[in-house]
Amino acid sequence: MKNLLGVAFISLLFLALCVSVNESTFKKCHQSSFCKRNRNIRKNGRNTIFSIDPESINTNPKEKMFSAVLVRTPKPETESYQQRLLFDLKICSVNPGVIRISINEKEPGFNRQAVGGILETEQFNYQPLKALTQTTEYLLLQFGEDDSERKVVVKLYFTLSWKIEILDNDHFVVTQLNFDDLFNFETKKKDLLFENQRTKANNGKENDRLNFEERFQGNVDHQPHGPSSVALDLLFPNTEHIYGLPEHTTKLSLEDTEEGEPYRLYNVDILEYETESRMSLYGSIPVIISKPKNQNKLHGIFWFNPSETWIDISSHSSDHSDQSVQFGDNGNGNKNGDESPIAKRTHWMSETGVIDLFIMVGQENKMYQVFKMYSQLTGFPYFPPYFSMGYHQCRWSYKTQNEIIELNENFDKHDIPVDVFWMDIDHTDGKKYFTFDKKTFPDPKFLSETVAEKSRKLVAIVDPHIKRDNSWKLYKEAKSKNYFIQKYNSDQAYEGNCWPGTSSWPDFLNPRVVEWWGSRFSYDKYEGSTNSMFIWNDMNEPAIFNGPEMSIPRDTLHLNGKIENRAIHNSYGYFVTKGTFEGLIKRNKDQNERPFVLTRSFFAGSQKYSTIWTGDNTASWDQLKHTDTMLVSLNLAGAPLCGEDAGGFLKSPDEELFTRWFQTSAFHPFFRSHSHIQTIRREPWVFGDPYTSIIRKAIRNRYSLLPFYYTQFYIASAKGKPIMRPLWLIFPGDANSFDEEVENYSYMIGSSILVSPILNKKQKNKNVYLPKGYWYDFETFKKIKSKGSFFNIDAPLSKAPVFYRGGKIIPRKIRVRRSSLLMKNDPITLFVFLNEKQKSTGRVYIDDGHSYDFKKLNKYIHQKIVFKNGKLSTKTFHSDYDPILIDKIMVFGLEKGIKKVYSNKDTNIFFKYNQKDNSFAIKKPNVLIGQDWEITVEYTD
Amino acid sequence: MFYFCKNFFLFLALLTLFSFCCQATITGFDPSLASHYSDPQTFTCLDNSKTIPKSYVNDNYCDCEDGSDEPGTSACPKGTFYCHNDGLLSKSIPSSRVNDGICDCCSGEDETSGKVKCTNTCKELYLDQISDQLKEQEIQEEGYKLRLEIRKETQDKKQYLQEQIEIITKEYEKAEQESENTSQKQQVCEKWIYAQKKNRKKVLKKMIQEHMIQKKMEITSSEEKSSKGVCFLQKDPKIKKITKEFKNLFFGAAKKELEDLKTKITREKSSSFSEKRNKKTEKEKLEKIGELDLGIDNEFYSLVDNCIEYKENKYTYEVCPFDKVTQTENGKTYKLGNFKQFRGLTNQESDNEKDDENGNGDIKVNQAQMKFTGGDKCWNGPNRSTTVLLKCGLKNEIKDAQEVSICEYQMTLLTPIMCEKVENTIKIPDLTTNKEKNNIHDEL
Repeated sequence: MKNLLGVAFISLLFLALCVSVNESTFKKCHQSSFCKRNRNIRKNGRNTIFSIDPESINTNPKEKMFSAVLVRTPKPETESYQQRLLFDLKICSVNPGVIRISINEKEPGFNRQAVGGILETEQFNYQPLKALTQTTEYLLLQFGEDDSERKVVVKLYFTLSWKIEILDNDHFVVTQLNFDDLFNFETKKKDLLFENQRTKANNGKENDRLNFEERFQGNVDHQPHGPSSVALDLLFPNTEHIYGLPEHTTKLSLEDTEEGEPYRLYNVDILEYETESRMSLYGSIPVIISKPKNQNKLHGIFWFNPSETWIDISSHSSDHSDQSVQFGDNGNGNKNGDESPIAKRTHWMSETGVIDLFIMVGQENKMYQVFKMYSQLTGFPYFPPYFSMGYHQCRWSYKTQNEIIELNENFDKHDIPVDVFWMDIDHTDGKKYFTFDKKTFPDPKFLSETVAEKSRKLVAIVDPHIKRDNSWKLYKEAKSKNYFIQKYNSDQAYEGNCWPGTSSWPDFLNPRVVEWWGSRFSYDKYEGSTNSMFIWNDMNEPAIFNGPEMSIPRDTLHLNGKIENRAIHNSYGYFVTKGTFEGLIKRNKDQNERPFVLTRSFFAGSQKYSTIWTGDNTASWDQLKHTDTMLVSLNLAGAPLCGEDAGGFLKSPDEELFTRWFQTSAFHPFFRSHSHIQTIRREPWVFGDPYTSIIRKAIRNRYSLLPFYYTQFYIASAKGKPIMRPLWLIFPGDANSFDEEVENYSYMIGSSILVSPILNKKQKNKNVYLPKGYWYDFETFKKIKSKGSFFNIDAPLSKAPVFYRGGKIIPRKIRVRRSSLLMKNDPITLFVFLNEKQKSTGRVYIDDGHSYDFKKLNKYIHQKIVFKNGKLSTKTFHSDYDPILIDKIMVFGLEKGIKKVYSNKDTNIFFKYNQKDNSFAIKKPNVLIGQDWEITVEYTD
Repeated sequence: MFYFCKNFFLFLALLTLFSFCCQATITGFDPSLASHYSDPQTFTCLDNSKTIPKSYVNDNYCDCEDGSDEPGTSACPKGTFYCHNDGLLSKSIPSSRVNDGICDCCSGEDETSGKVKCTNTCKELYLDQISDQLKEQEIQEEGYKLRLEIRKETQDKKQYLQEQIEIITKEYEKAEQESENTSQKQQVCEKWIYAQKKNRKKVLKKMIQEHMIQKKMEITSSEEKSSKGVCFLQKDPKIKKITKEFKNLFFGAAKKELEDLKTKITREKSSSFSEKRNKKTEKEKLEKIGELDLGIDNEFYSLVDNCIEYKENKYTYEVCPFDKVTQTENGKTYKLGNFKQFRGLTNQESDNEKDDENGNGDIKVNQAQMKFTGGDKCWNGPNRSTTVLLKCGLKNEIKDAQEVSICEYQMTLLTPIMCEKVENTIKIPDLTTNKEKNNIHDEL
């Protein structure tokens, strides 16, 4: 049997490898009954009405919670005998600017409430509630203090079908709920039971349609609770662009779906995924960011539902836009004048659960606020250790420990820095994770120590499928404790096929399992692991070779039968990483070391525990072209720590593609090369020169920017800000930055570096859009003055168009060593790029790079550096860590000559003008990051 | 935290120290460049890009683009640091390895910041290296003796090879003739069979026709003519006989007889053809070897028809020099390539030219090797290929085998033919003299 399965699996793998993604493996909307039903409502209308019962309204300022009852009644003109059903509608503001709207059955037919452990409920800061006006037509609720600039008004309409409108503090409509009357809350089983009673009473016959099931690709999905989907339409008036809903391969600005499939969110392992597709991939973040036209603000929607979700999107002229002026006397409504207003309509459909919607309302000129609000809901990105910003070398697989030791030496031979070597599935003993193969990895500790001599690290793969092997302690323990996901209608562990053969999957929805999993990472239990080894969670959708849609059946059971996988499916990967992350913290006695975890599957909140990569991509130009967009999309959805397999995982890249790939990947937050076992190797030197030299340069540039990156990582973890940003986030008033070419094929790192990589074969120059201001070539430092236009930039193979932004100071380390930690105490060189006002600012954050001392003991330096009126000075937010010497300050774009440079310490500092790049170099200014100082540049007249 | 603080101040202290001391001694440069660093007032970057005050040399700040002003610090990205290593194993390392906490020079002279305390391992390392060299030298010497023995046996192999080629050429020609013959024979035979069949059919047909005409004339009554005529004809013994013969011709023994004949001839033909093919392959193989430079006294001929097996984990490799390489796993054998190219140690240049002429200058590394290409195709990949590197050893054996890239194998074949005559024998050096010499040099 085992062999048979093995053969079946191998042939499956081969089959899957030789053709591109087999679309029929995955459901389309018409094959997913609830998607079809909800789409039908849009087409054909419905026979029920949900309306607010005005009598039920409870506006209790003390509870900071508005509640009302929604009543479901048959539509008057329809011949329906459906029972009258009651639903609870609750509205509150969990944080300033954040409205939560939830709807559930008053008497739920089954446990619909989603699981805990995702929202940061303990951090919620409930805002005061006040009823402003109530008429027979509507009710106005205000959330937030009267004098707050972050007040949000919620307008409830007592129309036949309920409607809600959210207004920001400027009285603009943020979003409109149920204006297309697509709200749906299926209670099919309840309805049929009611019908049964009626028909039984009438003619003694019983309806036997209560055994619900759905079939797909020969798999039967049992649905004991019956159809139970929830759906709602949200309209964004006066909005041309909405973003988010990762993970997909479409363009950044979400596209209309009326003509085809909706965007799908259902975590699956998809082999050879395609670009420009709305099919679901490995992870899901049900978040949309909307950008109202002519307003410099962003709003956000978080649809908190981890079951399968489809989202239809359409654009249409905004019929409802004039309603926004009804509120208040100074309502300024839609200022678009004669431009035809555009609105985006979204139709959200989830397979089960409740409606639990968060609306994050942003303020004018605070473009980053929405990311902070979202992070406050689901957690701020974790702050990974310093080394994780370096270059990572992976392959399926480096088969022996000697191969890795050789790799460790070869990087030095080629003088290319590297921080981490990765061990894929073959390092284990028969794909039993937490073990090492005794033949090929006889002494993993020695391996760890060897790479640690150069301050390098290891990452080992630990997947959530557990080999069913009675001779394996870990399996036996999990089995005896009943820790596995159970089969439908049974208390037996579900069995599926994965790398080790027949396997079972721990039920990570159970907090005890999460803790147990974490405990497996302790050094004594995980033999061969060390404190310089970190973890990679792959296949955690979960991926199951013989499961429906290559994943787990929806009718499998979590929490000892309390909840179906269908209800939590998209959050499984999240809980796997939670267990891993917490385990890595606990493995050290002081619990003070920051973990590094990589995940393939993710959900809202995953940013707290893990770095995300875009899974099994392919070495093709087309995929390279879509990579930056996928990563920017993740950044916009609160998950800034992300990257991809540089060079492409499947298939073999040619030298040009490989080189170009590294030129963009070296700027991504997570920078790793990885490759499939049946493709060429991907070490940076595989193609020889000139390619090796170009790749070496790209990797070294990354290392020289690590102080800048670390500061970006810190800001991301503290403020939730994206690291990779679309240009419009920094230049929201610049209409060109929303151009499809611009927002998909250029991005910013922080707000300082613009990267516009070459993504086409044989392309040797590129039309790069530079927003208004000064820009400096990354290599030559040549200044470009832009009025906001496209520039044709030369880009021979050795160069990708990258620019520093005028007005930004970049901290760099010019001494690039063999790994990031070897550079820790090296001096910093400040690169000061001036803007047209001859000003510039920048930030530096420094800590020990590996522990929580920055949090627990405030051991860190956070400093702002400003150049203004010929003075370079510091503003220190905090300084309690070893200062770092500044060995040089480079000033670019100075439009005057320098007579003299002096500081508050030295009366005369040496400086030199360099004609080649039109820069001034201030030599050894004798100042430190972490101390306050001022350097004056005296201009010539 | 204190640790870092301490380091940092130590670092500063060292910086200060540097500025005092560097006038006296400048560290880290290659002794052959000493004259550039000798001027007490100024220093000119080695690329001549600028001249700077001498105090800027090794001041931990990069002034020269080429890094030459900072031979002793890590300040310049393009700089190098010279490890004197007590004059034993001197070498240059990138400047980025200076004071990074890792001892790169065996003397430890690259680490002066105090981050790490290096023990001087030069002497040990040097002795290790000498002892390795001695071992290597021993093997070379011993192997060279074997090589000379081999030469004795192979010196007439070129001639032998020519003879073999002549023989095989003759055999091939013969086989070719034979196959030609069988081919013709088959053609004739097939024609004959065809004619036989056609002819017999014709004869029979004619017989029936004649007999029937005769019989028809015998049938007189109109009754018989109309209704029983056919039956009558069928019953006719002569017709019966002819029909039987007819059947026999197409279905029975006669047919089998012809078929057997045909099969026999076809078999003959195919065996003569495969004989011809085999001889051709063999001929080409020998001719290819004949064209190669097999070294002095044809010494590499000793590898011909000398397959070597190598086992590693679950794989068994077999290298047949100048022929093919295979890999066997669980009873399944893959061809890792057919012999394609060979480079011996001698006449490398002419070999190179030949490569270029043939447009297959695949051999890049300047090292004796054999290339095997066009092996079994990899699933979803290229055809397997193998490079066998040749190195000196006391017997013909494979030292290692690895898949360097997908379906690209590399092996090392040890053979006495690669062993060289040891010209300058290594002696265990007197280390103290070396060190003293070095000290004197430093003082200069």
